[in-house]
Amino acid sequence: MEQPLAGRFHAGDSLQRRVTFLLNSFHRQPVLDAALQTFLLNLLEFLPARFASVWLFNGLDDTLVLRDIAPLRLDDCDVSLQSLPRRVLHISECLSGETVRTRHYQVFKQTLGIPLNANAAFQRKHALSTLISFPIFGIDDRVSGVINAYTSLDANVDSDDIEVAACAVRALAETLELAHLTRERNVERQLSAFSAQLVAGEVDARTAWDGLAQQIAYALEGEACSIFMKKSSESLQLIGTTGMIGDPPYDTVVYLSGQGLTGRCFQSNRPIIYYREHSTELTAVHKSIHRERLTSSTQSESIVLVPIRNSDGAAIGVIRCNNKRFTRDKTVGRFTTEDMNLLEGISSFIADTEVKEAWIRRREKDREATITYIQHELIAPLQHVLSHVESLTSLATFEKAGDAAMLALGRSRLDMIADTVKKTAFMIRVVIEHDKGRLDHVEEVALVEAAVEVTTWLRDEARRHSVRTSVAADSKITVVGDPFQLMRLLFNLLRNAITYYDEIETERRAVLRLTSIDNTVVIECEDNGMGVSLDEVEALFGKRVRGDRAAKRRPEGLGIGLAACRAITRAHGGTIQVANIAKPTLFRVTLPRVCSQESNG
Amino acid sequence: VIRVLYVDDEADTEQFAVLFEVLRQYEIEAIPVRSVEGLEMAISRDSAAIDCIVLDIIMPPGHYDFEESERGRRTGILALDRIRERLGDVPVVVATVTSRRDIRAQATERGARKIITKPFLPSELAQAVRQALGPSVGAVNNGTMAD
Repeated sequence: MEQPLAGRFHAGDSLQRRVTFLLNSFHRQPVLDAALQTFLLNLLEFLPARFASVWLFNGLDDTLVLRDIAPLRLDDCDVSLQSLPRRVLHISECLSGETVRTRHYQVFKQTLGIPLNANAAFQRKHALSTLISFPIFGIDDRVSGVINAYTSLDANVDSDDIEVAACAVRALAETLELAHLTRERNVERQLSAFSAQLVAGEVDARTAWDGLAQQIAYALEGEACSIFMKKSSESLQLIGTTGMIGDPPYDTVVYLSGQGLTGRCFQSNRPIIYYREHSTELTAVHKSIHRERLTSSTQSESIVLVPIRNSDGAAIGVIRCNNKRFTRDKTVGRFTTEDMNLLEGISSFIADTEVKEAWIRRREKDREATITYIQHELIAPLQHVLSHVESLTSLATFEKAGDAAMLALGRSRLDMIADTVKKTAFMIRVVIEHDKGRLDHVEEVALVEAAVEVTTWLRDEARRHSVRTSVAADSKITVVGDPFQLMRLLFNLLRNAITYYDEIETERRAVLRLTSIDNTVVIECEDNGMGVSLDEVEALFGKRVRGDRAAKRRPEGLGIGLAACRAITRAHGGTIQVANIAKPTLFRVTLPRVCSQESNG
Repeated sequence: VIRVLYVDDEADTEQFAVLFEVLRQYEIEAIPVRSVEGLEMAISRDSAAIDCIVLDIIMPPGHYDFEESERGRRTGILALDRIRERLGDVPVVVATVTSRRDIRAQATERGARKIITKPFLPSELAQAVRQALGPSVGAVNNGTMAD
């Protein structure tokens, strides 16, 4: 009786040991089911190094045969290639190189679908080989292919069967890793993992670059373009991810291949062209991978991969283009020379990433210096004014004069100066930080007091528009949040209510109403002003979008008030809505009493 | 009377004299120090007589090209390190215009007990100083003005 295989794997076993063990077990048919199952389970927690496939091209019958699967170290692959006597195609070259023609895809299709003129076992092996290793097939297909092939093995297994099964298992390892990476879809994590490997000396630089492209390619699944740069010899940084390059927000785009096709691109000095013929079958296969993202208009695809090189000539990435942006000679289905020149031009431009990085850094510093300047030049004087204000109070000038009326007037004016100064400082910060939705520092904020202060700051504006402002609160209400941002939230809400008053309204009012229920605080801003129209409601919360009437009323505004309100609310883990659009207009903000910091990216 | 070293590149100006005058009403004696070097000198002269240090983080201003502002920002942070070396855990109140979380975090990491954002009323600074000094001082004279 065979011992159950589950007991023979241990958590620390190397992948090699697991594979070897499983291969040996192929000679013991009865235990294979358990073996495969156990192996798969173990493999999931022990994802291996990447594998590449080596293919044998048989010119006599136009077939491609999976010859070997090797770890994806190009050196190793090269050795394999040289050691093979016949014409062998490395899978990535096969798929991305010029040697691939339609007929190969026909071969793939036939091998997969309809039997060729060969015996059943031969077909089965070929079908299996193709299925498990051809990257464009979906994971489900691969896994089921392996399972099918495996279950079809009969008692009279021969060495070929074992070889195929071995390939199947290895390819499955690759598949599982692919699945794992695809699931992750976290490019930055992949990057940092790879950087760590690089730093730890676990991979050499060349392998790291190649591997990086593959990692990201798998993670992105061809759905996005990435711009990344080499920060130093030991670290890599993703600086942007865009949609496909039809309308890039950047000057240039570095593409990291979507389906693991980049391995050879780094080795090649020439652009690598990969044609995919229009065909219903392949579209179906493609759809199975990309699912809903593929539309009928993209059935006929062409993909161009251009290696990106830095000033030292080292490959740092690949440009891929697969949309209709570039003119294509339809009869040949080929990109024109102009297209290629353009792509090469883009490639060389990106190559200068170091210059670009310096430029970005310089701009960032420039911005910081400007902010420092504004803060120092504008806030420092205000600091002195505040000192003067308090000194006047403490000197009790008016008390000495003995004039009670003058004393009261003097004090009220001093209060106004202090309010103005604080409001001005607040406004400076609003200008500086108008784009920030983040929380700088968090503390317990007395919300009612903050609302009263905001009302004070807007006193003159309210008076000018004859709007009566008030704060209504049932109790002392506090929120743990960013004091500045919360002030800004209250300020924007109230200022909107004051600014957009209704001209025919005789009793104009704007109320900030604060209530707290359990662990939630509700801020309502109600006014009987001009209101907002329904279609303006959603648009209002977008940046620099204002209602038609609002734009006429206060053309100088930035139009970011409500957008800022929404950003601030979200940063505190709350919600904002227009609860009523007219008479009274009611904005309602709901905040957790303690802001959720995780929403503060 | 609480003796405070006030470190700011403009600390010796007339403008600051007004602030210091008001602080005296709160029984705080502020000694102006213009630079980190000045701070070190003041510490070496009579460190025992210092109850608290108020420190500006962004010094020196006036040079707004990148390298200078970088250096400037570090200066105040650097001063915090010096203070720790020389004076142990003497209370430090950081007075700054910046709202940048990273700079504030650096200041807190280096032992700043309170961070007060400019502009502030002298009374607010007085309160911050008292809070930095701890509950015993704060309880005795909780930021109220002395006659």
